[in-house]
Amino acid sequence: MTVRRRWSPAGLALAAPTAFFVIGPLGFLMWMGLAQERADFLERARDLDLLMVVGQVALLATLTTVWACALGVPLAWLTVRTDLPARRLLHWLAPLPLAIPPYIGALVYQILLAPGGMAPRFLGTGSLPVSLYSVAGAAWILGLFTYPYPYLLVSGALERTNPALEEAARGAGLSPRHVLTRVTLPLLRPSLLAGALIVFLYGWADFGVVSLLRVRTLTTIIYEYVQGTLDWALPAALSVFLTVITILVLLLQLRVLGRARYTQIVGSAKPAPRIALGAWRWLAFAYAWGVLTLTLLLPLGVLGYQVSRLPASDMGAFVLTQWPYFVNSLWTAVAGASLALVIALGIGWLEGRGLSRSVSGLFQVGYAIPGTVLGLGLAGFLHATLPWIYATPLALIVAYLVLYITPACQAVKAALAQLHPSIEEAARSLGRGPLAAFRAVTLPLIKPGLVAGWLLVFVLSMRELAATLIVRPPGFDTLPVRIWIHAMDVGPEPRAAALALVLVLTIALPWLVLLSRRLRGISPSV
Amino acid sequence: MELLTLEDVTKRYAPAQPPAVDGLTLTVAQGEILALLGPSGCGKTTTLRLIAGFEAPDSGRVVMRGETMAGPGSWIPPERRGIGIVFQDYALFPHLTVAENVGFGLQHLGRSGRPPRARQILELVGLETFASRYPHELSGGQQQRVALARALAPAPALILLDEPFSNLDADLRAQMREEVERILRNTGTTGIFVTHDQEEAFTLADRVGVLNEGRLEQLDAPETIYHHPATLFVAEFVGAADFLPGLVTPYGIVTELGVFADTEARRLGKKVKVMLRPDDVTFVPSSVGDGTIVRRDFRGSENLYCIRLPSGQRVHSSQASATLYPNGTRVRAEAHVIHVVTFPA
Repeated sequence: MTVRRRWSPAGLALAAPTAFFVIGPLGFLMWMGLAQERADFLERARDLDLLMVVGQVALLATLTTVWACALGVPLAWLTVRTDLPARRLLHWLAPLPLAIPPYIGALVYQILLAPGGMAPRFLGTGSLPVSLYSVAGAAWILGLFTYPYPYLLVSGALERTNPALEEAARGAGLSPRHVLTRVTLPLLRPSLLAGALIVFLYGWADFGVVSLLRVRTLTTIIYEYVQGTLDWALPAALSVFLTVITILVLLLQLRVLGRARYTQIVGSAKPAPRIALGAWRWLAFAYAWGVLTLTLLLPLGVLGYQVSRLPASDMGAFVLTQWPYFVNSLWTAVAGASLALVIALGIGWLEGRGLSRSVSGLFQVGYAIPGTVLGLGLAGFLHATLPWIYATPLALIVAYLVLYITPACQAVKAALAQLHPSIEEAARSLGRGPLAAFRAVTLPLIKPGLVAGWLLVFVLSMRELAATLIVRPPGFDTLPVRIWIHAMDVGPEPRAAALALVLVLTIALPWLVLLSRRLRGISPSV
Repeated sequence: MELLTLEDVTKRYAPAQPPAVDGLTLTVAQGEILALLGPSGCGKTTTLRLIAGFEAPDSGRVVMRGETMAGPGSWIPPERRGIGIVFQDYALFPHLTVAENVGFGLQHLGRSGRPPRARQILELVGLETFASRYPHELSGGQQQRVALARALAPAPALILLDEPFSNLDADLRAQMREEVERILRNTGTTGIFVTHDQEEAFTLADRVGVLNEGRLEQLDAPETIYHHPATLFVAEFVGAADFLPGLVTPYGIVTELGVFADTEARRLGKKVKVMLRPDDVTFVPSSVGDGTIVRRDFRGSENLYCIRLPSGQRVHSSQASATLYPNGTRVRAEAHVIHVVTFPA
């Protein structure tokens, strides 16, 4: 194999602008954050009770992780390894809640559980004894709508685990229960840890849910500052802190995932035997459908019911006023996904030929930045360096590019990895130049992978809220922004639900395509 | 007439490592079939890739029909070399039918010229009825034939085959070997193939080049390679061999198994090793014999006996499998060496 790597003009032309937009915002924030007086910062940190806020965010992320794993891991084991009734249907449905962004989940549960909501009214009380507007409430929502991450990773690991390992343990004299505790679970540990870290980061960096539920976190403080004052220093410092922790967790996750690959043995033809649940079957069945009810059926039902309550006479005017926001979302997401994929494809192809140094590692920094932080950094950075992009929809497309170039690169890399280099060499030896060979052979063969990558970035961009809120030009609202503003200003009412339903349906279709391809390793950030 | 020449070609993948191909010089004649034989990592596949143009040499030149393909200051990319390649994994285009695969290199014929030529080539490899199938619908042997047909379709002067039979079952391998040779000979195509299988190299090739650690150890006809190996490496790699210590005397080379003619006129008193092939060694059971059978390997058509000589030296002898001698049988071993090959001890 050729080890030599060099920069070609094409590689530079593709990598440099992207790297510029990845590094620029972070550099800007660091510069702003470090520029301030230390004593001044400490005083303001005290005013904000920052220590308490950081503790609260850590608690939120931890609770979210525990809750998501409690939902996802048993479900994964039940659908893959037991004779649970309708397990195939459940296995197919279980990842679908990823199509519902958590902030929409928050909206749904506000409609249901908030004082004066559907449940209290049904029970005839003014409010419920436990408030949704709390750290526990936010963790409840975030866990419900992120549990598919641990579910997908653990069920994938369970499917790939070589059953011979468990048979060997049985042969060595272990009882089935000991096989579970001493072989199966330890083998799952890396996947479980990786899934848990994704969820932890989600809770750590979330903006949508906590803002709707009025929980004070680092992201909401940053957002308040951005809205209220022109003072950059404090939010910049908080952003850097938020990002550093995120990057540390991501590095941990990369290590864990790297190790996970070695513990799972592929290539066993025989699926593992299913464990008979016996009398527990129906309890497990109730548990599984309980999870899906809370995360999928109930939210869709509530949204649908709310939409049906809209007065038919308002419908026309409502659609007319909201239509432009849908179009804004659609075209920026399409542009962001297309740009990310073209760059990822170019870089992936050049890297495969040793014509570009590996830059995907650098791009991962963009993937690690929480949306709120990127929004702030990008707004400041563009304002300072490229004012003609700042406050235009282009800024949004750049934000999507920076946030989601990594999943695009991963999709392209995965697609290219399945192609043996000799396929393209065969085309070369038959008289086609490098580009002609790429067009005639490589492109048609990797197209399914590219489509999946494009859909993934499209879905992620379509639902992006935190960065969009800060970066968008005045008056240029997207669907998530509209839903959020509506829910914040007017409250959880039918119009917000109608917008949310439109967004969920727009996302759900590509999601179904993606999930049917069993695409794994899904982005943790929104 | 020579078709291809490699002149002192060296290729190094990493500066710290020894070169993959080290000062390789060889010439291939028009219509010849050449085998590059060697253990894995000997540089044979790299040599193929250098000829094809998938790698550029660090120094030296690759010349084809007097035109420099690669060398100081000149480089012709693979698509303009007109060299057909059959890949080890066949590398058939999975999204194209058999006919489209075969027609892939026929762009110059245009839309209407391609199908007749593709059909003609498919007939040559006996796959005319499979034209509209996709590669995954074919067996391994059929895929191999498509790969060969695809490489032959543009009528290249030279065709390269990278371990062409390694993915086939043993019985299919012999059949395909014969078929590939027939097709190459009938079309007058020059062929270079790499293999680690000496039997494959011997049956198919006019000449065999034995490679070791990027260097060409010997380039000769198969019989010469087997009977007159130029180096100890070739002697050991090609066929089984024992090396019997001997001493050069005025009467010949004196060894434990008798005196051999000193064909190479070595310096008197020099210690040498005489190469013995298992078919050079015979034995007769004898109660006064000083050799002992210590092991017998049943090989189907033959038995391979390992005989321990009084000095402790072991030699091997292949015998027809009809008669059996148990381990421990005392024997008198004899060596009938027609081509005496010695190496410095």
